[in-house]
Amino acid sequence: MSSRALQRAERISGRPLSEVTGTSDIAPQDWVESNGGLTNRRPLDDRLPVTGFSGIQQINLGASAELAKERDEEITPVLYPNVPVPQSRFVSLQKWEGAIQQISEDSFIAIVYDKTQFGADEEVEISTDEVSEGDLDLLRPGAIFYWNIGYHDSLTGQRTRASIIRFRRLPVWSKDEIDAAKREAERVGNLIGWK
Amino acid sequence: MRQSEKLSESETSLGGSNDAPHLNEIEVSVFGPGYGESILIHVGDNEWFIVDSCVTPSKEPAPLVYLRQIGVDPAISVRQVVATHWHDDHVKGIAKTFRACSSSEIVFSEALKPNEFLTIVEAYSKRGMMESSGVQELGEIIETLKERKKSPKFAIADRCLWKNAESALGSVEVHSLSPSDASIVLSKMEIANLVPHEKRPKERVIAQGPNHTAVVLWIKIQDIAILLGSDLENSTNTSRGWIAILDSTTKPDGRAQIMKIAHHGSLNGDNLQIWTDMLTSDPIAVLTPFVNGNVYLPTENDCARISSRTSNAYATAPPLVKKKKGRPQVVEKMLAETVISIREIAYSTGQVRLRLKPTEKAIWDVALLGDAKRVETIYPLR
Repeated sequence: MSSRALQRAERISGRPLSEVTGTSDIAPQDWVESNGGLTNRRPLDDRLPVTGFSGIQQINLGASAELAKERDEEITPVLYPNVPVPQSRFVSLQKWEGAIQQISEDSFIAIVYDKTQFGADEEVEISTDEVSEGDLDLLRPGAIFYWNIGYHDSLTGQRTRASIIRFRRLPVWSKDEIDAAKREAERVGNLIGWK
Repeated sequence: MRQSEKLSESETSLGGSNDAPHLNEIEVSVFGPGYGESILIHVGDNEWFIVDSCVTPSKEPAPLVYLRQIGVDPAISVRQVVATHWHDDHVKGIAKTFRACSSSEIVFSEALKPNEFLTIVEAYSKRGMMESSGVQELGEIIETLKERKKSPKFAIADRCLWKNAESALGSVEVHSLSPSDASIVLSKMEIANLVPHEKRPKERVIAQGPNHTAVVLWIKIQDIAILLGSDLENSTNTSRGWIAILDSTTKPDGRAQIMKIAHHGSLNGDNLQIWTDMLTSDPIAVLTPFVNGNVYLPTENDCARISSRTSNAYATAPPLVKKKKGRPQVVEKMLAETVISIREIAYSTGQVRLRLKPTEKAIWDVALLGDAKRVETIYPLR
C-alpha cells in the first residue's frame, strides 16, 4: 500500500493506522489494499483462516466503488493483513544424501554425504524401522536416499523432533540409454585402445 | 632384525619432514587410516610410482599432498599410477592423481578389460544418479586418457609393467603377479551382471564379491624386492587368489624385504606360504585398517597372527579410530535417538614411511607419522 493510501485511510477514519487496524506490529508492506482500483493480493477465501489477529476493520462500510464515483466521493480502501497462513512445516537442521552398502535383517549400512556442511563422509547404520512402509521395497544395495533431521512444526504450533528418510524412486534404464552407453564404450575403447 | 624406529615429528601433517629422498634412496610410503589406502614408491632417480589412492580430510589425494610437501613435482616424476581394483576404498581421488601426474601411465587390472566394463563406466558415470562413486573416478580417468590420446596398461599375472635398467640404483622392474587367467574369466561374468539392464532402476553400482582380481605388484630394485599385496584374498580354487601366485612358476624370483599386507590384515588375505616362500625372514610388513559397518580390520586375532610372523609389522592407523563431527548438540542428540551407529569415514592422516639407501646401509628407516603405529600395540594387552 502506498504511503498516500495509508495517509488517506488515516484521514478518513480520523484515527492513526495502528488504531484502525488494532495492531501496531504489522508493517505497512504486510497489508493488501482493496476497493476501487486497489487490488487484493489474495482471494477472500484464502484470508479466512487467518488467526491470531483481531484488528481488521472495514472503513466506510457499504460504499461501492461505483457509488462513490457517482457521488464524487473518495474511494476508501479496505485493509487486510497479509499474515501468512499457518501450516505445518519442517525445519531442517542436518541433511545427507546416502547410498546403501549392505542390508541385514533389521538394519542397513549406508555411506552418507553431508549436504549441510563440508566435511568427511560418514558411515551410518540405521534400523529399517526408521524407513516408512511405502519405501521398504526400495531397500537394496545401491539404493539412494535423502535423510533429514530437524524440527516438525505442526498446525497448532507444536514442535517435535523428526528424522525423515525418503528413498529416491530412481528412474529406470531405457533401451536407448543402454544402447548409447554401449556405442560410446565401443567408440572410446577404439579411441584409447581399451581392448 | 629390528628396524630403527623414528617417531612422527608431527601427528597432523603427512610426511612429517619436508625432505625428499635422495636420488639413490628407496622410499615406500603407505597412507591410509579407516577408509582407503595408497602406496607411494620411490625407486631412485626421482622416479615414483603411485598404487591406489585415498584422500586427506580436505579430500586431496594423499600421495599428491605428500609429494608436493617434499618438493616433488608429480607431473614429471610419477611414472605409473596403478589402480589395483575398483573398490571405492582404493580409488578415491585416483582420477585427480592421474590428472596431476601428466607424464604417467595408468595401469588397470586385466579383469577390467572387457568392453562391458567400459559400458558400465559410460552408463553410470554419465547417466548415473549419484556422485562420489568409484565408477565416476574411472570415468574421469578415461576422459583424461582421451585428452592425452593415451592407452591404459593392463596388469595380469607375471607381466613386466615397467623397467629401467640404468637407474641410479641399478636395474628397476615392476611386475604384476595377478590377476590370474581364471580370476579374469570369473570377473567377466561378474561384470556382465553389473551392466545396466532395461527397466531396472539406476541404482549406484557397487563392486562386490571377493577381491580375486586385485593387482599384486612385485617391485625389484637391484636385489631388493617389495611385495604389494593389494586386497587379494585366498580362494578355494587353486587357480585364483594367492594360491595361483604361490604356485606360479613364471613369477619373478627372489624374496621381498617389505610387504604391504593384503586386504587390511584379514585372515582371508593371508597365507603362511607367502611368508615362507616370498618374503625374507622377519620382513617389514605394513597394513592399512578398514572399517565398514561392524567389520573392523585387522581384528585382535589378525594382529596376533601378523605379529607372530614378523616383529616389524606396522599399521597406518588403528581400525578403531572414531571421530565425531562438530555438529550442534541438538543434532547429535537426535542422531543418538535415530541411528544404531554413525562414524566419520576417517581420511588419510596416517603414514608409514620406509627409507633405505642400499649403497650405504642395509637397515630401513621406519617413520610412523600421524596415527601410524606398530601392529602389536593396536589392541592393548588384557
